[in-house]
Amino acid sequence: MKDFFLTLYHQRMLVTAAILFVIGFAGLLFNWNLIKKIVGLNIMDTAVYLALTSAGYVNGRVAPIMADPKVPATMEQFINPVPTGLVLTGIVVSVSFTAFSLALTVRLYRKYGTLYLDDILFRAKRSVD
Amino acid sequence: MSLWKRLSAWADGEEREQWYSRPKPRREKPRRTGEHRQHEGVFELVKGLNKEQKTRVFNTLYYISCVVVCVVMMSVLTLIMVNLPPFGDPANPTNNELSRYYIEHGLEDAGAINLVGNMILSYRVFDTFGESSVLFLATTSVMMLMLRDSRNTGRDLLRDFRRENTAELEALDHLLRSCSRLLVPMVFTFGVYVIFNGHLSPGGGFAGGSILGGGLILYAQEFGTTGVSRYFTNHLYHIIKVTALAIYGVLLLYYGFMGVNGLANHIWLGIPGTILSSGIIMPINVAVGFEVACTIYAFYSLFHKGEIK
Repeated sequence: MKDFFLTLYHQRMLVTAAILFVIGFAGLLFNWNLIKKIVGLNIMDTAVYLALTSAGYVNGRVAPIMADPKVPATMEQFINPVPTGLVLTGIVVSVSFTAFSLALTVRLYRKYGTLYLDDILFRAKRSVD
Repeated sequence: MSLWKRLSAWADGEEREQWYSRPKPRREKPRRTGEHRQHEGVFELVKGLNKEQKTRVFNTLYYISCVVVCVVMMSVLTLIMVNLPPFGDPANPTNNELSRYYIEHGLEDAGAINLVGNMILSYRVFDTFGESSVLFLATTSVMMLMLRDSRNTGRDLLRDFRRENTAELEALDHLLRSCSRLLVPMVFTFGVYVIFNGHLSPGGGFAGGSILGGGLILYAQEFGTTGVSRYFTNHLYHIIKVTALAIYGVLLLYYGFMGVNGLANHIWLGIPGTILSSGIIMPINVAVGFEVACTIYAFYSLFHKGEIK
């Protein structure tokens, strides 16, 4: 049991990422307001960024920007640069996705006059009937 | 009636029919036979209740199942995370020969001392081009949804929006105006600095472009709609966006064909560590910066006023 909690402490970044992911997922499940659902999705995105960046971190090394260009860079100086680039991609896609879904939400609000998903579904069904 | 049909009917709002004032015409339901009744299972419990009580029962069941799903998900994810390779260990499988190559050969291949910049704008430049295209597509689709013209907005709504805009112009906040008058020049200068130092320091096109877009939003707060439209019109916006993406694409095609195949090319890598270095990275950073600044301001402008100007 003590080992388990010690491992939890050592993997604290990843465990935080898991908890954040589930918080965002619960936001998706428990809220009927569309804006709150989008906020939940953004929290899930943040959890993925945290997991990726912590996968690239190495103890005692610094960000991969060379202080002196004359000294050749070695693997032992810098952290892993690959996950950082992946996180950049994730951020851009998340921003685009958030803007697009917010625009869709605005259109839905203009048509049905509410942000609550069950009311929107009810009114859409009634207008079809 | 199956469980799935009941759930979907509840999700479609049929169970809440009586909450709304307009009554719905009754539909004839098919009569149940004895065969169906044996398979009802859980629904035997709620058979005698009226609709409001049934809704309450279904709500309770939904929330309980959600809590169960969340708790199971969190425990499974935590168990997976505990069994992953340890945090910050140099011997992790993620620190493989790929990152070693990017770190040790980045300077001689691409010429920037920011090794992440080398990676995203030289080795993996197609990926970053895809990101810029995603931003472009996102602005285009938001524009389709949010532009307020006679084709996608009713006439009365359009008149209301115009009235709101004129009312907003007359009521500009004085505190915000005087503060942003101080801040806007500094924000713009810092954004340009971050873009042009993308190959020397943390930052680059995406970060600097966001700062420039934030500065534009602050400027729009300061001078209102007419202030920005004096120099940033819809026409100029389209020109900048398409030109930046086109410059990026041309540079990418040239470098992707010549540089990757080791052919002789006209890209001068420069002296490492100075501002004129790193080949295509700085022009691409500038193009991406303009693209991102336009995107950020377009999002603000489309959501706020329904047009870009």
